[in-house]
Amino acid sequence: MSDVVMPQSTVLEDEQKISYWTLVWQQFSKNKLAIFGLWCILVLLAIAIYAPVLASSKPFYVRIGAQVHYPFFSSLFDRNLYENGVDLFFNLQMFLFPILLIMIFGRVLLFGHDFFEFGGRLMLAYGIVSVGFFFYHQFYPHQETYKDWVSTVVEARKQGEFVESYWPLRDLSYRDTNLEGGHPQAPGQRHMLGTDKEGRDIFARMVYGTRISLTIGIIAVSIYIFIGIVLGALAGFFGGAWDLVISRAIEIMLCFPTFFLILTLSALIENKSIFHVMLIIGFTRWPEVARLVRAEFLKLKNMDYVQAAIALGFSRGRVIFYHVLPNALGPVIVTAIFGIASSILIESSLSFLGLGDLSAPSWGEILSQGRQEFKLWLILAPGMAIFFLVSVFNLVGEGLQDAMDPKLRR
Amino acid sequence: MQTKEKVLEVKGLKMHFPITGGVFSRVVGHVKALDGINFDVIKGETLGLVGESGCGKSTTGRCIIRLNEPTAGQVIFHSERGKVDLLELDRDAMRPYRSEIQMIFQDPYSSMNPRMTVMDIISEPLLIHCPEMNQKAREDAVHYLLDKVGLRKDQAMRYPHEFSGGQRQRIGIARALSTNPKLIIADEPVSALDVSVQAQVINLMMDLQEEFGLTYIFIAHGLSVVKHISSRIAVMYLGNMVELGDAEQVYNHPVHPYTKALLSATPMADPRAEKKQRIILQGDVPSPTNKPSGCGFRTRCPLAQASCAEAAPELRLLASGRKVACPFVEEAE
Repeated sequence: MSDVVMPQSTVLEDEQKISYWTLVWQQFSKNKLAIFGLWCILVLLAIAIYAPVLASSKPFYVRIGAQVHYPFFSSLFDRNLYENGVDLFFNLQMFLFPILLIMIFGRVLLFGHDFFEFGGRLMLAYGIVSVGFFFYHQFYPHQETYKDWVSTVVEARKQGEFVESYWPLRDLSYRDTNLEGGHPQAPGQRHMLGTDKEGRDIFARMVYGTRISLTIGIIAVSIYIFIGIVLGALAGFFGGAWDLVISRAIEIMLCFPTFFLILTLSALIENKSIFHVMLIIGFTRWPEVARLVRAEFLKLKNMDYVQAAIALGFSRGRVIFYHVLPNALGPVIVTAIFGIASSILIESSLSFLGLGDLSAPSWGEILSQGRQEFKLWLILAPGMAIFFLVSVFNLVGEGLQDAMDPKLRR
Repeated sequence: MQTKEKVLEVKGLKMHFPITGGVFSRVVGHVKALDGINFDVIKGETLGLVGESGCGKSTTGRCIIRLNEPTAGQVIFHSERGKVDLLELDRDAMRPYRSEIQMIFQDPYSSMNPRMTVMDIISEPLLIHCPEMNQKAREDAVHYLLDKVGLRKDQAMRYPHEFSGGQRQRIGIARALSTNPKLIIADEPVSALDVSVQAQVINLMMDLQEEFGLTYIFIAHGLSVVKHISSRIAVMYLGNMVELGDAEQVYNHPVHPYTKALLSATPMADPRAEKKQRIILQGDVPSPTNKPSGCGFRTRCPLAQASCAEAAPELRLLASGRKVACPFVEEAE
């Protein structure tokens, strides 16, 4: 009898602690379409981060006569070239992101650690460094005098100097205007996807537009998810007067047609930047999340394990953050993924209507020009891109929804 | 008999849940879940609390541990620090007493946080109530408790959904034991389990009671389960206690007409046994929002008289030491 039991128990003792997210990941990775969506998001993220490598008018390396320059690297954090804060953030990621990937895959592949065990702390450190750098640059901007390297190199060649230079994939930045040969210009040799009515290269603007779209999606959603969780948790857990006030606020907010509210708010703000658009989306879309979180809290508050936690004398904070919130988070994360897709759509719609940040190279803004100029290349590229981005986020959202549903698990 | 040390005294415990309605949530009525109940719990005993659904037995347990805030009454707990009325304490003052009174829940599938391992579930109370313990000491304590409730050490790193109902209830018991409590309120701990597992869990609880000197308040809706474990049985009906006495007495010689009816409804597992005379009560249990005046049972009672509608009968002491809330019954000794 004991011979039979022994091997089984030794196997069990080797058992590793598996976290909930590992289980979700196992389930998620069975969904081919969702994995495809995740790869697409990673590719989009890579395009967004390495946008200057794909399109920038600054060469990596220039040698004119005896002089050597590295304009690409020195201009990465130049406020005059990249006037948008989003670009500074992504340019930093060109260096930080590979380090992050090495730290994650190095630990997972070499040491066999579980990402979901150490991931939280690593991501927190990563976030603090990124955001810290971003704010540092907001207050102490780095500025360079503008130099047109494309024509400098052409001039030098004409004068017969020795010139050696290495360029990004396309030597066009998203703000460079090319007014020769008419504008808007149809796709051709120099402009893969044509130019807009101000002579700016559409390919460059599409590439940098990926940054805008992803940032809009993630930051706007983070804002409203945060507001929604805080208000929903207060209403659901404490009930009473909290619930009365917050529920009425949710109902009032839900009475407004959200998109028209966003339109009105964006019409009120002058000199909008892309961050204003994020704030507007963030502050108008929280009621859905708050209602969801409130419902989850109401349900979970009466679960026996929460009652047990209260009976054991745990503090309110412990009950909320350790026992209720982690179990309420599942549907919220799924809503967030879908929310990213819809926030990108809202931003595109705002730009399409001319109410977005007009200086930012957003896809919706290109689409809006397509409407005014009625040129096919102005409509097709951003239209397909928006469709693609929204679709892949929805694929991932659906995959996650299925993976987190405990009823579908084995 | 009289020298027995009390652990808990419940005096005039009332729990009236308000019913709100209308735009401004005005109180339009009350659900009288508990309507002034009195009982003592003696150290080392198992007090069985029985009654049908909605009679207030679970509410009694929840009020003692203050998961519900009672409307009125006293719950006097005799701890080493002296007597204290639990209902007068605020959250922080209540905390040390929470480690001395623990609860085992009915549904083993929902009484454990699905995101936590068994180790986390059982060691969390230690983290709060014994902050001087370090990680290693807590792990040892969890392994000791798992061993006590009949689970293996290596199962500590698993999640609740990997266990069967009976095993989960064992984990629930281990969690309740972790703070070294004096009193455990078991709220129908076996009614969600298979019959074969019920006996195992009950026997485990009895073994643990002997080993750790625990006192139980054992809530159940069937008398047969309670009879096995209880030393005394309290029968409840519509928010009142109708009979309270030694388990043998109440089970074999019930005096209150409701107890008699409840007992006669207990199914017998012996087909050759004599067909018992079933007492079929007329009508339904009255709504606790609109209780009959006087005795709550008078609408269905075979002994009801006109005087029953006037005043609610108090529990009165019979010669054998048991208490019954009916003025018309006597022991048929």
